[in-house]
Amino acid sequence: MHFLPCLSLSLLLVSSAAAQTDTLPQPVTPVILTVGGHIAHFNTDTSDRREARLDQTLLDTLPRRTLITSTVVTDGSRTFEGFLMRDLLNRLEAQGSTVAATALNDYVIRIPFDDFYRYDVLVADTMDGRRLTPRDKGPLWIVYPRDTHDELQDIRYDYRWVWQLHRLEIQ
Amino acid sequence: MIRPPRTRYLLPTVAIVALVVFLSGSLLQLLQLEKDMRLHVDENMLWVVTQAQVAGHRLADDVHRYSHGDTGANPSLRFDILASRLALMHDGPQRRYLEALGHTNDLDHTLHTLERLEPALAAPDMHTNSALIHTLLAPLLARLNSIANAVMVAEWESAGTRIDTYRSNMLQVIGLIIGILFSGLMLVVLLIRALQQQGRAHHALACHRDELENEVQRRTRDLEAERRRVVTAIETAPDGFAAFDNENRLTLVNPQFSNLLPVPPEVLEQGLHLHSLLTKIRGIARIEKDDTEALALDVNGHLQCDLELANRGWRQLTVRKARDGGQIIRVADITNYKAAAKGLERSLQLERGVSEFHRSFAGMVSHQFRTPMAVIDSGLQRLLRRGSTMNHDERQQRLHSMRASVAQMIRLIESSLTAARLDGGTVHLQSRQQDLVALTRQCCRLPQTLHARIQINASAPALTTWCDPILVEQILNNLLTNAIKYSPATTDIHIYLGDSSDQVFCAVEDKGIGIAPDDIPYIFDRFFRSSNASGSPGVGLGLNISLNLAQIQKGNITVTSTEGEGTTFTLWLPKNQIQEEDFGYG
Repeated sequence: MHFLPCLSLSLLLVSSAAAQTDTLPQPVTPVILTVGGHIAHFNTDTSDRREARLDQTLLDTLPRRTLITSTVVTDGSRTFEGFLMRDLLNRLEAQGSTVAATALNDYVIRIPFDDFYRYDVLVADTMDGRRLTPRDKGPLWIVYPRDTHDELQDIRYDYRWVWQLHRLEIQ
Repeated sequence: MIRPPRTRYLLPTVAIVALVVFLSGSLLQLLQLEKDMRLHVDENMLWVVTQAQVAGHRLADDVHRYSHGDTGANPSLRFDILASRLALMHDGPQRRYLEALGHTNDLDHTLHTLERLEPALAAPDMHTNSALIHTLLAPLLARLNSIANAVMVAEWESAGTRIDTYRSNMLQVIGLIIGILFSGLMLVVLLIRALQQQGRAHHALACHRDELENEVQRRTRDLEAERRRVVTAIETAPDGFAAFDNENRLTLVNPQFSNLLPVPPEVLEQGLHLHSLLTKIRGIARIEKDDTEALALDVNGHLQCDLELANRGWRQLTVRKARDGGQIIRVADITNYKAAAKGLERSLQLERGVSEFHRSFAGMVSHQFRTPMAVIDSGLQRLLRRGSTMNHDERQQRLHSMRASVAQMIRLIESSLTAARLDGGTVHLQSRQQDLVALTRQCCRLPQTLHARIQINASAPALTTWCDPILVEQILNNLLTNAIKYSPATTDIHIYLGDSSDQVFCAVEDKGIGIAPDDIPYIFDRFFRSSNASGSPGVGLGLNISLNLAQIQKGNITVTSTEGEGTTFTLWLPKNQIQEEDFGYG
């Protein structure tokens, strides 16, 4: 069901490469996530900055994944849906070593790229079938598969679970 | 010092048990510590509450800015963030934490305030509601502040308690590690002591081994010297020795052994079996006790016997069981002993013969001398009484009769003397080559003048023999006298001379009264008189003397006789000289 958007994004990527100005489609619905820094694909290019401003339509072009895990701030296991951070970085051809994730309350955490390639780190937009909203932990929540990897059950990973995520900076 | 085994292992066992206990205890303490360090959910609560406070203050700030026309302010977003922070505090773990602190009411009140704030923020004219919003936010922030205060105190208390626990745990672990250290040190000390003891034991063992080796070498030298002495003694001993091991295999033999017994030296090799050697000895020697077919050992493994070796004399063979189970053979030269024993035996027999002769001679004298003495006495009495009245012829008859009696007594005495000389071994042979035919004719010359009936038949003109002619003449005279005495005067006496391969014979044949068959075995016994010869004068010495004289010349006399028809005595003499025995007559 994501075939067509995927195809269109791919075509756009190819055409933009030919024109040496890589642009993503402009968001048509409210922007959910903004990605800045060292990325090859973007849709906003100001004088000093290029950004990929992604609305739900663009985010839906990424493969959907489901992750069931417990969290340190809720009871029991929860079912999360969303896309892998790895897929997003690959799609934007992000180049760097860390990702600075910023929440709506300006909570900023630097996460090494290595985390996303070693673990299936999910950027969730739903929990237990309900869409995450800014009033809860939305619009997006970085979720680690802590139940399947013992080393992730550590406070040094717990602070990387950024919720109310709305911005990424590739560094 | 050597401890009993139980005590020796007690200390290491205690040290090892202590080490295990201390290690296990410290491990358990560290595991508990690790678990405690994982349980720190409250560490994040202060951040959660302060973030909620910040969100509340930023909402108030944005509302204020928005009411003054700042378009950059976003009260709606700030409200959402505040709502999310309060929702977070309301979630499971966080709410339980706050409940434990007794701030459930405050939490519920903040949520209640949030519900009243939302319509105020949603109103079209926020400027008019700004005062209301601030009025609602002030107590909310105050309650959040109260919660933050309580959380801070609780976390500090918790941190203090946890630090106390950690410290206590660490002290226990330190104590256990000190225990481990001491146990380990004790084990190291015990190990070093054990190694030292082992080293000393090895050294002592090496010393002991060296001493033992020296002792063995010394004993071996002594044994070797002793063995050499024994071997030398055995080899130089006059007797022959052969030693056999437990399996009766020859192990040692001295040179004298093969000198005394004609056993080839190559036979006397190591490993020769005892019974095999005895069988060989049996084959080359004659055992004195001929009833022994083989040289057999008795039940004790012992044997002693005298052996006669051809031309080598006598040996005494002794087999004895050695103390270690083997056998020892001793061979001694007993030739001289045997010769002496035989000489003694012969002397004894001689003495017995002389003694017997004396007894018989006394009896014979009492009997045989009485008759001629009576004849002489009777003749003398007659001559005394009637000498004057006797005529010459009668007196001559009496005197001849008395002389005949005297002559008989003289012959009797001569025969007795000859017999005595024979018994005493004083007859000396003077043998030489002699023609028996000539000697026989010479002997027959005198009797032939009295008895023309003696006929001599010789197979050859001369028959040479090795003999003493005087003794042979005495034998022939005796045989001729007997032939004449015991045969009628009308019959002839034949003498036949001849020879065999190594002997010459002279047979004297008469046609006389003969000898009773029962008497023939005893005819050569001394003083034996045949039953049918009692009427003739004689003492029974002649044939005995003749046989003895023949035998000392390596000859013999045989007799054949038929009672009433006649008797033939045959003298046998060697043709050539025969080696004299060592113990032969002079």
